[in-house]
Amino acid sequence: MTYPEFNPETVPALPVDDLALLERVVAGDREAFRRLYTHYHRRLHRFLTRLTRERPLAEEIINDTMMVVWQHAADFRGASRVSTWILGIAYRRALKTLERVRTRTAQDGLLASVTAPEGTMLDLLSQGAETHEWIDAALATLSPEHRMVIELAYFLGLSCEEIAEVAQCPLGTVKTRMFYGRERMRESLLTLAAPRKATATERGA
Amino acid sequence: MSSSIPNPPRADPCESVAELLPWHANGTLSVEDRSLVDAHTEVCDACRASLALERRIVETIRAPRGNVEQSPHSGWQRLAERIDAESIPPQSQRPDRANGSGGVTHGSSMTPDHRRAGATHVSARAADSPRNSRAAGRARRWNWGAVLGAAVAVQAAAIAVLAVALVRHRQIEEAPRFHTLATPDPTLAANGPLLRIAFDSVMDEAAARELAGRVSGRILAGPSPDNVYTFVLNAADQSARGVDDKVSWLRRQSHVLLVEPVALGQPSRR
Repeated sequence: MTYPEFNPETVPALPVDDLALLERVVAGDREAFRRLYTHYHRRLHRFLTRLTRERPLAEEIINDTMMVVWQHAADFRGASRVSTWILGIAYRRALKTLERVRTRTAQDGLLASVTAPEGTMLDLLSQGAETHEWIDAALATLSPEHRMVIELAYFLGLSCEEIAEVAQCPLGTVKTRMFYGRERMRESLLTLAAPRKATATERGA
Repeated sequence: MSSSIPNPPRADPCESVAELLPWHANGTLSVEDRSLVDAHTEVCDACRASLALERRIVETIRAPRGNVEQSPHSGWQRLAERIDAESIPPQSQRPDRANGSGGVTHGSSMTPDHRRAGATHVSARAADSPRNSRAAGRARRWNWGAVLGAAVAVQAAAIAVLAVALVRHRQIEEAPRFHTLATPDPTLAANGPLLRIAFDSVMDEAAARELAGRVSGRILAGPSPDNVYTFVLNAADQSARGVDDKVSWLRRQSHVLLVEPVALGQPSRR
């Protein structure tokens, strides 16, 4: 049993030949499936926990996704990367879950016609301890389709083309969802940042 | 669904560039589009501010939150149990695809069940082969006195091995299974970050030692009956980020079920 040298630079991505693993899964190799599961679990868990805000729900989606992988590995034709195929399955499972559990958050009520220069908002975001909460709240006001595009791009770092593959929609649809998702998010952030800006102004006066 | 959403307007260069900003911020833009955005943001204050905002949002969304990372082990166990309970084979192994109608193209056409069945079949054939029958005939012609003498010697050796094993087992049984305030706790003497690591049953101590060395650490305690070890990392150069990286790296290694940082002085279960 030999382990690789530890290197902080390699922590995010250890090489795993997921296509070779998938071929072994087709043959019913349970150990290969366990390795594939372990390889994708971290990425999917972080992504899905962000989306659902509930770890048990994220775990449920992961296992539903990987069950599909186990059952339908033979259907993978290599038209895309294995990661894109698995993400696509997780995407559709997560979308259904989000549509089921989605509730309009209290932030909706805060959306008003507040305007502020973006430079100012950037300054506030840079120094605000609530930045995470603001962004989460702004994302929560989006429809599942718009939010998914933003999360896939910003959190997972997927390109426009990769998102189109995952979501199985045209490139133009991805761009449109991104455009309106960002607009909506920007409005929410302006609203959420406004009370802090007002407080800062009062303190300065 | 998507057709009901109108296309974004593209009245001026700023709006065309705005469409590219998210992909510039996440680093997936093509070289040409990236150059276009860079050239425009050099002369346009508003778009430059928008790009900075996009980057800030990406950084915030990607920033790790807390040190708690879910181990895949429990989720995997639930999924494995589900597969077992529902007796779900991969699609390639189902009878409806076995006759070629499913068009399976990946992997070998021989399933593990086939391989196991084949191995059993081969063993049975070997046992019934003429060669083995000849060997059995030779054995029947052996001197029965010599055979009995050898059997007694083997039996005596087996009894000796069992006796040694029994004595060792009793020694283990008699060892205290509890900790008292007087029980020496090696973690109290540790001066570096501690990690508790659970391995699967395949992992042996030599491999655990090698793994500890990979993260500039050593085994402080273990293994427990459940194959749990405590590692202490080198006290030098252990920033919080460095420990997190090592925890994350360890969690991704084979045979590792769980890795959690331990508060200094917490009694280890040996």
